Order: sequence, then C-alpha cells, then structure tokens
Amino acid sequence: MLRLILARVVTSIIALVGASIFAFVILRVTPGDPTRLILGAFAPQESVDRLREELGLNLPLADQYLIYVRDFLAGDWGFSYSTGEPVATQLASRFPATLELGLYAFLFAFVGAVVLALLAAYRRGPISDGATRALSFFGLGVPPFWFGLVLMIVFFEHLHWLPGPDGRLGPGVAPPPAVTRLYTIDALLAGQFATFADAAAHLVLPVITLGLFPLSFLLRLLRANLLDVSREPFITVARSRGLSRWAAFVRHALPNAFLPTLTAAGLLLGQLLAGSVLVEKVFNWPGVGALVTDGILRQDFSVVQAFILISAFIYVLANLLVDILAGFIDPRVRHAGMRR
Amino acid sequence: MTDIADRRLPPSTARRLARGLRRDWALYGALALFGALVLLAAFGPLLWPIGPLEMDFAATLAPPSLAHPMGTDGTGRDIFARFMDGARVSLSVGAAVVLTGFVFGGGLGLLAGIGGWTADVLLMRIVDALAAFPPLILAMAVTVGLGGGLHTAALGIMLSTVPFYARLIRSDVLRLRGQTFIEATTALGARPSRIVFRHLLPHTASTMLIQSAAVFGYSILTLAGLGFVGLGAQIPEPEWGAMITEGLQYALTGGWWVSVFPGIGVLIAVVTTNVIADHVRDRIDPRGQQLGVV
Amino acid sequence: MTVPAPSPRAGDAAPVLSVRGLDVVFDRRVAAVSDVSFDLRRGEKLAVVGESGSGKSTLALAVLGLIDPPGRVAGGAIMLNGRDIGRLDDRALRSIRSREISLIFQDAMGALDPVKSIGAQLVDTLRRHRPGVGRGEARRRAIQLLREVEVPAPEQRIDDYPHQYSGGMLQRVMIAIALANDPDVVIADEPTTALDVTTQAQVLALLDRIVAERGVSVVLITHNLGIVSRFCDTVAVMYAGRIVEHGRVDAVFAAPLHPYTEALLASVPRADWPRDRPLPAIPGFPPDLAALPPGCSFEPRCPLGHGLDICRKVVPEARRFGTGAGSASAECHFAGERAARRAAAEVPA
Repeated sequence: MLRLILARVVTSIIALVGASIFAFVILRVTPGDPTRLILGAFAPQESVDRLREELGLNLPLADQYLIYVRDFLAGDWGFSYSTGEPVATQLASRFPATLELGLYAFLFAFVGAVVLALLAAYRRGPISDGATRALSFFGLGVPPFWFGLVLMIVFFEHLHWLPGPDGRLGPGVAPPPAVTRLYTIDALLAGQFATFADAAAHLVLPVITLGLFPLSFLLRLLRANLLDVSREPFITVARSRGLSRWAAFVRHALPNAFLPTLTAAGLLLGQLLAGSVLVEKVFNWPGVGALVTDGILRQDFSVVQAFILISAFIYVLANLLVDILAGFIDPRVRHAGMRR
Repeated sequence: MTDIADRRLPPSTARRLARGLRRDWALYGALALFGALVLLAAFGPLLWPIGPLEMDFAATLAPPSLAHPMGTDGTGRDIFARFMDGARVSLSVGAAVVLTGFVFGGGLGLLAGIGGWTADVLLMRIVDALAAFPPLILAMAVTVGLGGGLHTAALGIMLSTVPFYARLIRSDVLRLRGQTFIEATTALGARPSRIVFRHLLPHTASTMLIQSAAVFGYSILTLAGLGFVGLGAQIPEPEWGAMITEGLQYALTGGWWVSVFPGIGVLIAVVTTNVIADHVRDRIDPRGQQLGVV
Repeated sequence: MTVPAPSPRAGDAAPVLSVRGLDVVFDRRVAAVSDVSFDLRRGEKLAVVGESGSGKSTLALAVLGLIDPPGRVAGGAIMLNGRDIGRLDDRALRSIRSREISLIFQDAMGALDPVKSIGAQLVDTLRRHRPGVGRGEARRRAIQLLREVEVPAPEQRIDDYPHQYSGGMLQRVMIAIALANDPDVVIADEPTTALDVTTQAQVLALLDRIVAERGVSVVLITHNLGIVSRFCDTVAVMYAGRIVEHGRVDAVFAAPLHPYTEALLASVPRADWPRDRPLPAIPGFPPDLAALPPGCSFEPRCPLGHGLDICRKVVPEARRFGTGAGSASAECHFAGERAARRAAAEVPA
C-alpha cells in the first residue's frame, strides 16, 4: 500500500515538473517577445529593454526556467501590468468568492448526482431512465456561459425571481463581518439573516450554471456503476437476508458503485476550475475566473499565466489525494500485499 | 446461473448495430439533427443571399423575422449567416482535432504500448505533463502563449485530447499484447508493423471511433469556451463562442437572439454527437442482458 | 399436477414447504419453471438435479420471492409453514427471508459485499431480524456462528474482508449467514460447485452435521449426482423447467422411471469405464425455453419416445408408481409400462 502511494507521489511530481516546463516553454519562450505579451504591443523600447533585464530574459534558458520555478514556489507570481498590483494579492483577494461558488457548485453536483442516479437505477423505469440520460446529455453539451445567460434571461429579466448579474450581493447590501470570507457562512455566523438570504439568492443561478456539467458527468458515471453493481450476486444475497430492495441498494450497491466514482472527484475539481473562468464573468461574480477573463481582455497576461500554473498544481494534487483516499477506502487495495 | 448455451456464433459488429435499430428514435433524431447541421454548414452559405460579414446599419439589433430568421446583431450583420459560418468553423475544428489528436495521441500511446519499459515510462510522463492541466486551461495556455486565433485554438484543444487518446490506445495495446493470438502471430514470424496494423488496430477501431465522437463534441464545446473568453476566433470571424460574447451586452436588454442562437448551435452539435456515440456504443459493446435472475 | 412423494419419515404431519403448480415466466416468452410441485418435510434433504438452464436456480429464487422484472411468478402456490408466501408483498416477505427460509449461493466470493467485513454482514443479518439485540450481543452470536461452521480463530477473522478468505471459508460463511436466524428451510444453490473436491467433502460434512443438529430442511440444488446419493433423502429431477421425476434417492437411482433420469445416471463417468468406448452422453441440446414443443419437452432427445406421436403432441401427466417408501412420481407416457415391467421382472422376495 505504502509503495503504491509513493509511486503515485513520484509520478505526480514528475508530471508537475513536466507541466511547468511546458508552461514555461509555451508562455515564456515561444512568443517572439514575451515582454510584448506583458506590456502590450505599443510599449516604448526602453520599457521593453528594462523589462527584459528584470525578467532575466537575457539569461540562458535553463537558468530562466529555474528562476521561473523558484519564483512560483515562493509565491512571487509577478505583477499585473494594468493595475500594478502583485498577482498573488489579486488572486488572494478574489479567491473567497470563487471558493464559495465552487463549494456550493460541488455540493450541488455531488448530491444531485447521487440522488438522481439512485432514483434512476432503483426504479429502472424507461421514464426515469430517459429523463436522467436526457439531463446528462444536456448538461454535458450545453456551453455553461450560454446556459447561465439563458437562466438569467428567464429568471431575472422575464420572471424577476432571482437577481441578475450583480455579483455576490445586491446593490446596497453590505457584506457580513469577515470570518471565512464566504458570505453565506459569515452572514449566518453574524446572525444577519437578510444578508444571508441575499447572498444565497445571488448564488442560485451561478451555482446551477457552474455545477451542471459536473453533475451530469457524475450522474452518468454513478448511474452506470450502480446498474453494474446492482447485477452482482451480493445484492440478491442481501435481499435474501431480508433487506428491502431500497435498503440493499443504498447500503450495498451505492458504496460499491461509489469507489470508481470517487476517483472522478479530482476531475470534477478541474471542471470547476475551468468552469469558473467561463461562468463568473456572465454573472459579474468577483472571483478568480473573472480576473482571468478580464486579464485576457486587457492583454494583461501575468494573472493568466499564474492561474494556469496554479491550476495544474491544484489539479495534480487533488487527483493524487483522491487516488490515495480511494485506496484507503477500498479494503481490497488497503490489504494488497497482506494476503493471509 | 441461467446460462443457456447459445450455439450460434455471436453476431458481427454490423449486425449488432443493426439489431433493434428500428425503434431507436433518439439515435435517429440525433443523426437527423446533426446531419442538418452539417448540410447547413456545407451548403447554407451558398444558398443564403446574405453574407456573414455584411453590415446593415439600417437594421441593427433586429429581432428574428423572415428576412433575418435569427435576427441581426449590433452592427446589422445577419445572425443566421454567421450561424452557418460558425457551424462550418466548429465542425471543421472538431474534425481536425479528432484526426490530429488521434494520430498524435494515439501514436504516442501505440509507441508506449509496443515499445519497451523505458519508452513506455518516458512517453507516458510526457502525457502526464499534458494531463496535469485541466483540459480547457491547457488550451488556454497554448492560445495565450502562441497568440489567439482559430489555428492556435485548434492546436491547444488537440493537445488537451492527447492524454486521452494516448492512454486509451496504450491500455488497449497492452491488453491485446498479452493475448494469445498476438503471441501466436509473433511466433509465426510476423513483423511488428504487420502485427500492429493487421491485428492490433482492427480490435481497437470500433472503440476508437465511438470515443472520438465524444472528443468531437468536447472540442466544439471547448472551442466555444475559448471563443467566449476571446482566445479563439478573433472578431469579426464568426465562431459561436465569440458570437455569444458579442451578444452579452444585448442579452439582458432585449436583444436575446444575438447570444441565444449560437449557444443553441453548440448545444445541438455537442449533444447530438454524444447521443450518437452513446447509442452506437450501447449496441456494439455487448452488455450481458440478464433476465432478472442473478 | 404432481403427486408428491410420500415422506421418508413417519410421524411428521404437515410439510414445511409445499409448492403447487409453480410457473415462472420471463419476458412473457420464456417458461423458466412450469407446473412445479413438491413437498418438503421437516428434516428432509431434497436434491434438485438438472442440466444448466433447467430452471433449478430460478426455482430457488422464486420460492424466496426474488424474481424481478422482466420475470414474474405466473401461477401456483408456495406454502411455507402453512402460509401462502407466494401472495405476500416484498415487505412481508422480508421478515420471512432469513428467519424462516434462507438461501446459500453458489458464487461465495461474489455473494458477499467486498467493502464490508464478514462480521459486519453477519451482525447485520442477526440484528435485522432480532430487534432487541445489541451490537455486542450480535457480535458474540456471530463469532459463535463462525465457530459452528468451523472457521478457525473466529474472534480474529470476524473482522476480515471477503477477499481475505479462501473459497471454502467463504462458503462456510455463507452457511453461517443462512443459518443465523434459525430458518426452517435452507435452499443451497450449488454450494460446492466452485470448490475443489476435498473442500467439497468438508463443506458437505459440515452441512450434514448442521442439518442433523438443527433439524432444518434442505433443498440442495446441484448437478453432481454423487453428492445427491451421499447426502440427500429425496431427489427431484428437473428438465426444461419441469420436474420430470421425484422420489427417494435410492429408489430413483436404482430404478429410474423417466428416460432422462436414466440417461443422466448413465452419463456419470465411471472409473472402470473401458478405455475404447466413448463416454455416454445425452444427444442433442437443452430446449429453448422460449419455444418449448407442444408435447413432452424431452422428446427430441428421448431414446424411448423420439418421433412418437403421443410424445410429440401430449405433455405427459405426472403419476405416482410403486408404494410406500419406494414410490416415485414421473412425467412420462411410458413410466407406467416401465414400472410394471420392472415389477414383473423382480422375483418376489
């Protein structure tokens, strides 16, 4: 077991090194002059020259790479050339908004997938089956930014049920005292229920939009696994012992179907990261994704570069943790090499 | 336990596909819609009088009508014409990504599978490096680094499919390598290339095709995403994602059609390909039909 | 309708399990079980024999009410301890399963949840049917059960997982689970088929001992005639979903009435079989249960009735022949003739 973990950690580190090399090559080396990328096409030559010195662009490539990595690991992610702020500070200030959105989207996707998959697999009827498959196909095929827009057109512009693209809180609503920086939790902690309601209302559409793809993805996976597992002999055995069909499903089929689904949780995080870039701007959500989108718009790529490398880091780490966790949970893997 | 021996040979792939095809409405619907899209992309611009770049300042932000079935945008361009052009762009990028991704990624996987341990480890680490990025973000990295535009976007999307194809083909190759008939063929003196092309590839072909349909859908979706953030097709080239971005400013003030129609295009393209892939796979991949008795 | 064979034991009045005219159909086309009737008395060990696809396993599941769509019980009655359990809904059946009747499955490895410990599954079975029992008490009983089925070091092994047990051990665990709530009837579906011969013998011996100690009635489904003769009291031979012969083991094996039974017995390989002679086998294949012939389903392969009009057109009725303990019932047009001829050939003692 330990050997497996070690092997996975090593592979992950190698993958990250490889990814950093790739990012370095693509983002720093290949564009004709990376300073243009940062300063824009019309900067004066002295600024360009100064920047080249600053960035160490006149050093040999290998040295440049090492500096690149060292800086990244130390948290020095450069400066945003349009605002002058360090990228790290910008990202940190925007992070809670994305975290709150991502957290709820994850819960939405996860709980939704489990409930729907259970219902569909348990009932086995053509209607529930068809509906689940239709939902999955839709969720996997709809561009999230477009879907968010449509939701707003319907629920905000026409029905006036939910708030529109004004970010996390309505105009005139002050954020609650900062504890976790997640407005919903902070508002509850401070007893500000009106603020909580407002924050929650503003979360509804973005959460559905961001969470739809992961939900559909998980739903497909879980449903297929459940159907496979429900055909296994031990389910019938459980029923012969006196469990109801539902109990046999929930207590025996579900845990077994879960294991292969668990390893997909890492992929889910990647989908949420990418999704935040696509979705936040639509709702004017003041998170990391919107920061990246703005950066691209303004040709200010320092933020974008940092985000790309950070995403890889988080993605690899998440997948590694999930794999190790799955190994612990599955008793067959836990005991590998310990046969009696 | 109820294993009634079936003494007829298992039906061939074609027959398995044809079985029960008659009642598969979902598959028919998907094929029809997708076919319509292809026809629209290929022949629409030839038959439609208005071009995608023609601006008509007298008819800016016109709602859908007979003259403009999908309305016009802020500079009076006909959205229907742009829609069809966008379909052409998306479908061709999708096809290009699938082909190149399959060749490049599949090639990597093949080499890793038939090569020795060193080749396998080396090549797969390269694949791992690519897979370290969430797919969209990898495509973003490529387009940011190499400059925006349709070609770099396609390249970026292709690179993000490489890990998928590489791992798929590698695992298939490794699995088949261990099978007896490969040993037998090698014992008979066949050259490695012959083994690969005559024996390994045909077995993986059908799965590859079906998985590729999913990749096709994924690339269209990702292209739209890149276009949305401004990294894919550049204005004024008509690409569905970029069109959605253009329409954002009008969306909540009454000009919904500018963004909605391109999005429907993406939706149809991706969903139909996924449905087709799924239904074909359900037929070809024999999933034991149990009789309700375990 | 079959007239059941008389009980091997005098004194026990009503049968524990009584099945009458059971029909199980799949997808409205496949007649997996047709018109099956038999009685099971207290302490009786009934063998159900037949080829793959004869309906043996379906019968077992049907008795426990575990036939799921697209299959359904299309007719007949199942009386357990005097109650018609065939009419009960799943809820009511749940309290009966494991408490009055339980099932032992063939594939022991697949029959246990791989992510739960053996102990957890045993304890769950126990506590499910005894509402007042606490976890500690249930665990003690579970260890007791494991000891009863001869699992070594049960206190340690109770927390192991299925993949840490060998096949034979798992089968013992299955027996333990089946016996956990003191059922009256245990249906064992090919419990030893997946085991090697030595383990097979051990498990059977265990089963023997338990049956004697606890007085449960057993329905043993198998295709191994050797086990039948050593272990069981009565035997029911199934073909194409019907019981074609039913009686005491020694009577049926010594003087089979149905041609299928006779062919089955003849096809058991023997160590002293001459080398140059081909092994006897029953020609042809089992019938397609979705397209059963109008007459006797064995007719196409029957050495006696093949091609005969009556066999091709009329389904034979089950009739009992012989008297007392030596009697058996069979579904064959010629059974009566054969029985009479045999009786005549015997020299009166």
